[in-house]
Amino acid sequence: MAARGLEWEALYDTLRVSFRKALPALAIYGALTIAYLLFEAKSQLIASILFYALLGGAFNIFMGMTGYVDFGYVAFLAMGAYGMAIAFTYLPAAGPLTVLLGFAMGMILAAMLAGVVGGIALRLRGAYFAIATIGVNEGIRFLIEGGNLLGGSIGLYLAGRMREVLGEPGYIFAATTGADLILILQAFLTVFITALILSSRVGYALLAIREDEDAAKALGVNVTKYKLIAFTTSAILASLLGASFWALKGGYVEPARVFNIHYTVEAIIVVMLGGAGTLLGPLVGALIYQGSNFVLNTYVAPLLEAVGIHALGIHLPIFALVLLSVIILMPEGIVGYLRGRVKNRILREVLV
Amino acid sequence: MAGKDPLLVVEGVSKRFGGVVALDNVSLRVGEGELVAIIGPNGSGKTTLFNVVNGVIKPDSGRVIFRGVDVTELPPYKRVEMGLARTFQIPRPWQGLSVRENVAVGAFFGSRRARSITEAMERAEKVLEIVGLSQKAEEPAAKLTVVEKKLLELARALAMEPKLLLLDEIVAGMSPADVERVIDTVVRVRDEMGIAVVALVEHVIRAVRRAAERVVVLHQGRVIADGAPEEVLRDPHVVEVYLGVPGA
Repeated sequence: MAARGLEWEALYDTLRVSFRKALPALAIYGALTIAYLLFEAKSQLIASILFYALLGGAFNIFMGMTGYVDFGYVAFLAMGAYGMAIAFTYLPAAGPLTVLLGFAMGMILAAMLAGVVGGIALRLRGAYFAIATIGVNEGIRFLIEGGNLLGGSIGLYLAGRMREVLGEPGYIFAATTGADLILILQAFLTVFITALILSSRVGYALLAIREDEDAAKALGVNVTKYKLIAFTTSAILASLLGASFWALKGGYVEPARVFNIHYTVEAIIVVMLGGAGTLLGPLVGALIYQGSNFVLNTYVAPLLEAVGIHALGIHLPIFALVLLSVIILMPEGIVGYLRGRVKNRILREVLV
Repeated sequence: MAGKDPLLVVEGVSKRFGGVVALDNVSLRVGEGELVAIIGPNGSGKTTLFNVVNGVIKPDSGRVIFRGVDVTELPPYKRVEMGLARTFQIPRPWQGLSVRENVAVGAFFGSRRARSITEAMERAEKVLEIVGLSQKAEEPAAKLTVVEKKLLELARALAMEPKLLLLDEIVAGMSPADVERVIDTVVRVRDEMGIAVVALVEHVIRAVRRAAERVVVLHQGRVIADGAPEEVLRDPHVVEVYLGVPGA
């Protein structure tokens, strides 16, 4: 009985510490939610910031904490998007529950892919792992396109099926405000799971692996197990994002888009910019990245256009330079950099 | 150690790397709470022996028995769970983590695993106090001096609350004052926590001679002497290995 009491005490303690860690990020997401509800004109900008925060947030759990770069990351979002598309295309009988079925399907596909890829590729170190994972993403894409599976290279068109299954008002809600609210829920979930990992044995194992995997091994960390836990968690959270943002909100799942390595690269930018392995990092990275995208493409690009310079997508070369500077000047990212230099106790508590 | 099963038994262990025989039929025993020094010149196979005991390297032949269990085929983390901890010759703290976080990892993964972060941190504080690093708890490990890094290695291993602690050259390159301090800490830990200690040392210094109850001498991968320090260090063969014999 006493031991049982201690277990509960330990669980309560872990939850309490996690919640305290998560608080600053939860507060910012809360503010974004309020802004989303108040300023309708900017709601899609906020939704896109949430997309990048989640893209980085799920990536952070694996790449940020272990230091392993998964170049096939976007495939997990694709699994989520396909999961939702499969549910609406092949199992529409469940009515509104089809949405839940879609999320579950996406999570299962992503977890299975993570188990197979992780079980094999996580035995490789550093660059070898990165190279192996690029192949996975491209491989699945060509399997779907070449094998003409699940709509082949055309993909699956969801919007029509959603209209049939959910009815017109249901469809409109699910594809707009509904999907955005799910995105917000996912943001809270991702923050809390990250905080939980950072406040527990798992997080300490991952950080030890990132800093020196051999030392971690010798010190009793079952490195393969913890890498696989992080990889799968990251994959499942990524699948939720693919299912809500691409499938529900986008209404259309096509291989060329959902397997586009460009999103993996953006996840790397967001995480490195904000601070790998930190809780606030992906959120800060997304605010800066998508915030500047918006400003550059809506205000700066038209100005350049007026003097004859075609400048749509101007953020890409700019961010190449920004990322380069961040890696050289503050490899710990913005949040990591600030935390290392702030002496104030309260600020240190906030910068997690 | 009389009567009881010894804590660690190394039985006829051999290991070769290509043409080099690193360990040649090495056998030794360590009893509970014993403090043993393994000495030997550079390249005598000391670190290889540690790696075999710890599980990082599998021996070509022979067995390692820890707490009565044959662990020869077990991965390092399983041995750690059973109560084996080690430090590295060249300190390998996790540079980006703070001193306290480094020790907390030990508390999370030792033989008596901390169940929550608060418990891990409390144990880290306690152990940092023992090795005298409390003042540096918040510092990133990268900022420590070499001696402090060695103490951090010791603290990290102690936080695991092991039965057997393997210390790889923990006093190498230290000033005599630091050597005294570290060895006193090791002896105190052994006395208070009842942990058996096996320490690798290249040179037998006075402090080691004073602290160790037994000295095992390795030379070219073989055990050439095993016994009380004074007795072993008078052994002509050991003297020859360390000092060389004129004209030989």
